[in-house]
Amino acid sequence: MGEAIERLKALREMPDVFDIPEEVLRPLHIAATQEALDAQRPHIPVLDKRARDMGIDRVRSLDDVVPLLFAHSNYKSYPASFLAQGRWKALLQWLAMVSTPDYSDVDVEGIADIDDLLQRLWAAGYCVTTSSGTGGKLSMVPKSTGDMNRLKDFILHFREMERPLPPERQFHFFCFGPVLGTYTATSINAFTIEGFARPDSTYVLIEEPMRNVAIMRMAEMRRRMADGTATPDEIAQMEAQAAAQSEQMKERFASMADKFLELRHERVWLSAMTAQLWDLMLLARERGIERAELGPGSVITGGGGRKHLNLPDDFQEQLNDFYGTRGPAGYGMSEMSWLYPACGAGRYHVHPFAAALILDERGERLLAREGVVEGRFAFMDPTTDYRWGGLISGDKVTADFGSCPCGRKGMTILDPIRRYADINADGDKIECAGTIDAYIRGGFAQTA
Amino acid sequence: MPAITEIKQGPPHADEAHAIPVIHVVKGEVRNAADVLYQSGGRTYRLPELDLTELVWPRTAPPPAWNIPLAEILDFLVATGEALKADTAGHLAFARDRMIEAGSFETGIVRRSYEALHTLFERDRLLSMVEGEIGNPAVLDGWVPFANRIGEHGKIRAFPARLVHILAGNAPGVAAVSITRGALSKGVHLLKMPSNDLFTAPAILQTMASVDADHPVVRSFSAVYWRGGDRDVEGRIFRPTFFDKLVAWGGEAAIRGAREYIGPGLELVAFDPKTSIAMIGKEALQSAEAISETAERAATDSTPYNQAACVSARFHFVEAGDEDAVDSYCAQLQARLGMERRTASVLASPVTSELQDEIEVLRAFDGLYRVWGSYEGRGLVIRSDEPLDIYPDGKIVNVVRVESLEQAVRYAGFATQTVGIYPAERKTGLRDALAAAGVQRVVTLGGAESLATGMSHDGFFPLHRMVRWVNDED
Repeated sequence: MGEAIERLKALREMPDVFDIPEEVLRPLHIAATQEALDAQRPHIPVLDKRARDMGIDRVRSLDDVVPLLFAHSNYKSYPASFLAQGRWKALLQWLAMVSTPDYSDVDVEGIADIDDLLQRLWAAGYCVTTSSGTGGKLSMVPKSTGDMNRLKDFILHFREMERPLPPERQFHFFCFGPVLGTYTATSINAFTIEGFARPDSTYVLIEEPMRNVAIMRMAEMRRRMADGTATPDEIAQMEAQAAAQSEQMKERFASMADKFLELRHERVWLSAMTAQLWDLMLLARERGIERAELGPGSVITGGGGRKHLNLPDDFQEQLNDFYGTRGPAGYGMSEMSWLYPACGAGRYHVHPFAAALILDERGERLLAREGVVEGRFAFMDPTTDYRWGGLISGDKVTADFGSCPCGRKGMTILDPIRRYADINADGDKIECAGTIDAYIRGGFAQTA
Repeated sequence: MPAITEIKQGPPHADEAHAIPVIHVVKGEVRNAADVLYQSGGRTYRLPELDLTELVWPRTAPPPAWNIPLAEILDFLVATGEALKADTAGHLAFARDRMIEAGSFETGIVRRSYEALHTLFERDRLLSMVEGEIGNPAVLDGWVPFANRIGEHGKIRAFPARLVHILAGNAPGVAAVSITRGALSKGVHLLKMPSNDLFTAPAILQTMASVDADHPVVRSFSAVYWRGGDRDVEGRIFRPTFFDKLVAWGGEAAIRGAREYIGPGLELVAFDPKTSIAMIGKEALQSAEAISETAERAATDSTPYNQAACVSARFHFVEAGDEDAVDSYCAQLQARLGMERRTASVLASPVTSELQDEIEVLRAFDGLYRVWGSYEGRGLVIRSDEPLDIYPDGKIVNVVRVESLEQAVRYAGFATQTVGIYPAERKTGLRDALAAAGVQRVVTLGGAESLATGMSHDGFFPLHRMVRWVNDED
């Protein structure tokens, strides 16, 4: 690791990591990016090619970083047949193209499915996190244990930026999601539980490990339904299975909701997606509870926003009103090492370890880094191991390079954050069938 | 009046100076006020505001052209074709220049497409359309005697209908053919323009009006734009009280959107979104000359509108007799994808970065895949042993090696429109299986783009479905 990268990581010890002016960080980001490029280029063939094609050997400014940024799709650029036909060696060879390890120490003998492979990878210290987007193609992002530890460090010590919480396992904990598996959100849930959940009062909606195979099977079924090879019986069977699963989930949800409503006046932590927060609210209202009135110091995390959900326009207000929250509490995505937490003024604070880049819509040019700027969000994180830390997102954001009303000097991102795909849909509805997305956005602030 | 939603209204916008003017035609009359600004694909357009009431033809009166004899309509269309060719009023030139300015297509493609539009108005072509798609032309003009084997008889007429056409913008011919078919059907026609072709339909209608502004056919057509799916517009006019049929050209979203309004009294006539493929037998690759010939035909079929057209072949299934022959075919094909053709330019859009990432990976697995060409848009060929999970677009072809073409039939389905086969003799052995799979058109490779006039389109006879069949039974 280079000297600038080490200095970046050491910023963790600052009294307030979110109170460092952007112009102070910039030279450090540039130097650290150069170090990361030098260190990773020989080991990541696609990075080397990109640098060569773009003619960039030296990173002299943040502008030089832009051509080196990867698209999100880079982590699912393998041919689908590798996975479908279980060509595990080829899949590892692909992984080696997009990340620094060569994975030669991963034994593929006897691997039956993608979950087996991921398990072997994790066992060997390659924490490959997954997410599946439209079409069910799995993206695989290789991370080191160090990367995972940094994420855990954030969860345990920096998530609540206004009133840091000691990780003392002090909350009645309600996790309306999975805690085992390779999804990044799963790791976040597990870390949060490890830090904050009372061992005697932890409730988890999905206790089974999230199986990628199940998602792959759904995608395969959709494909077969599309090309007409799925029989009506198979379709009926799949639908019945989904209905049974949903029924089971509903029961579990209802029993968790009961427990939550019983304990809600104590100090509770509620980790849930927007849809679940909504359902929980409806369930409470049915029982005549108009406001949650959570115990002092309670926390709600999660989110996901309205995306693809049939919610009224004022859903956020209704949720805020019911839970006594202020609205979104974090912005991030699974490729980032940390998330951006929201301050008391309701802005997302950019952490100092990665350069947040605001680009033009096409993602080709860095916009001026002063005042309030609107554009495509990207970032360059030189502290990542195994993977190149530069990535372009699909999000349209407004960034403020000035001071935040909360008093901090660091760069902030303002609400709302939208996806270019939604903005530019041009009347065409983009299908994205209920997949668990890597984005964790539009969460909730700590309650009073 | 409800305006087009999501259009900026009010004080002049900064982009107004550069806004591209869009003309609406309403029942033959030009509307060219610049009431609203509209942004799409990075361009700004100026459009007239919509008046929904004038977009419908009240049922209290029959369609204006309902009783005009077919012969007279043919004369009028032929005169329109001549006017389009001469373009003395400059309507077509205006539209062409705006199309070029809007940049949906490369300049040469727009020019050549516009130059050819008048051929769609030739008398024999129009008559072939009528005879092929509807049979006896007399049913368009009046009540034609009918009798069957079991002694029942009466009279039948192809009665004019009220149609909304949701046009596609991937080829100017779509607007022209909708207008000729619409005129031959004698019905009334509201043409809803797509954002990628806001110019062709009004130009043809204006030219038509320049021939005879009061002609009933002129008064039977409107061409306007609103954002597809706008409920403020569609919810009010897509009703059986105003229209009989919704004719939707491609575009999954458009067809799904239209479905909401379909019900008793309002029927959907859908040109479904389709893709096309090619099947190449080993006989077509037996010599260097044969490979060149095949590659040339295949390139022709793969590039219409730089592959934006549904007839464009995206996957080529090639019988792998000899591996070197297949690779030689791929190389020749790639070279020919970069040639200018009537509806293709040397350069299409550059390959998207997402696709580049995937193709780079394929290059690294050279045992399994091979890639010819690069990303500038000149054409790219990827050879594999099974179809890739990509959507080849912008002059990209996935050549798939198969043991036999018969085995490749499983890759065709209900979404497959055209299958270009070579050599032609192989069609006979494949067409039944392909038809059973859902394919609509089998052609000799090289002939994908020239749909024979009067034959079926997307599995049906369009003119036949654009009229209402009414019986007078004895």
